[in-house]
Amino acid sequence: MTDERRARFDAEAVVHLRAVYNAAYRLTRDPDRARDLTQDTMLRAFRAFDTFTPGTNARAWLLKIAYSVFINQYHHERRTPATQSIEALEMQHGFEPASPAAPMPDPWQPDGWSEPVVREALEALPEEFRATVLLVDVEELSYEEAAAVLDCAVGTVRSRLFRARRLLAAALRSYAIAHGRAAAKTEAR
Amino acid sequence: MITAHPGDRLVDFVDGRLDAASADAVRAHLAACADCRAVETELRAAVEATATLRDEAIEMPADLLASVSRALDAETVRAAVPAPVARIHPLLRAVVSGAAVAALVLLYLQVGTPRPASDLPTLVARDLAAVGSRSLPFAVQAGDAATLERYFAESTGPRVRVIDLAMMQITLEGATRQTLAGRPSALYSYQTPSGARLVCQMYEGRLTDLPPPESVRDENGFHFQIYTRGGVTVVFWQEGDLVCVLASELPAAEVVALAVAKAMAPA
Repeated sequence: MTDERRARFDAEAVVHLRAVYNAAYRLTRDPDRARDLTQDTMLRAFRAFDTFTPGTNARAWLLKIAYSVFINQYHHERRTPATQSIEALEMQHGFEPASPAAPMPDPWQPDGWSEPVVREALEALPEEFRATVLLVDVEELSYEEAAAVLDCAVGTVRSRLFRARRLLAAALRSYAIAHGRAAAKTEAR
Repeated sequence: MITAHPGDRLVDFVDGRLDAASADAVRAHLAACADCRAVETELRAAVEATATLRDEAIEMPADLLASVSRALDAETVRAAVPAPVARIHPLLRAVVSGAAVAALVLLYLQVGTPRPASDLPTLVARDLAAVGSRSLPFAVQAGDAATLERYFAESTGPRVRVIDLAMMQITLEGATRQTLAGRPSALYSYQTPSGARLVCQMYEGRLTDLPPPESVRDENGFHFQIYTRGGVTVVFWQEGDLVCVLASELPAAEVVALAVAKAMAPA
């Protein structure tokens, strides 16, 4: 490895350190684990830097490594996220995944949700659905980039987004009903 | 007239991914279908809500950049310096410089010592060639880790994990169970974009069963023993009760780096 390789890595990858840390924090919700995940990601990326294609999305490439490390750690720590299955959540909110156009009981226009409320709703989703929403709606990757990160088809990204977003909306609506519109708005910024 | 519900294509519509004609068709459907309008409202509400997380104040540790930078520096140095030839001939190492030791030990191992027929690094290197020539065929050919893990789970022998290296553009190609020096071994293989092959095997055993290595490397709590056999680099490490080995004709540094990337503590 040379100084020139290191300089290229700094220019292409290290500039995304904050983005990687933010993504790691959103995945782990723990500063220490986010730090470890970021360090591990950058080191693995450096070792694999020869496989990176210049001109492609370096941030997406780093996120792919971060998600892969995260999922492998999950796997080997045997940490099972405390979430229900997507089907159970859909049943709980009263809609069938097979008939996505089931009517909502009443029109609902949320606005101004606070971060903790949204985060809680997001964290109730099964891991692969949460990851898809994080990548597309928070990290702003394209469906194609998210599919590459998650090692799945673009159609799977679309389908997960569809189901996850509906569940998020349903969870937020339940929150609003439980707390009253005023309470929900009070928490808004 | 209400046309077929767009279903999950509504997310494409909401995200502006449809071409003009398809978007017009969805718009026309929404105008006539209250159910889908309600779903569209949900989808837009969720997008709006999750967007708030982009503004979440996440404080990156102030020393993280310096810490990452130090780790990259160390990696640069480690990769530039030939792997130490420790644990082979301590007496020799005490009197001769590192490079000379490497040359001597290599000579000793490759020429001076006749290898037994059961020399595991040699057998692993032969298996790499056998996979390439198809004289050792795969029982299952697949490019995804789940299929290969399922094969291992459903066949007799040690249960193993298959590590996906797709993020490094190295794809899985197949797996089989075979015998390595009389031990049941789970074998699976990768290919790089240039067509180079990496064969990974796992069998129950200990690193102490192996001959003295040409070099070693300690990384992430794992001890890697490195051998060269006829242009093939063979890297062994221990994961629980399993010995893992990776073999390839790729440059030695790359094979070692990939072994380090693959090594995982046993679940």
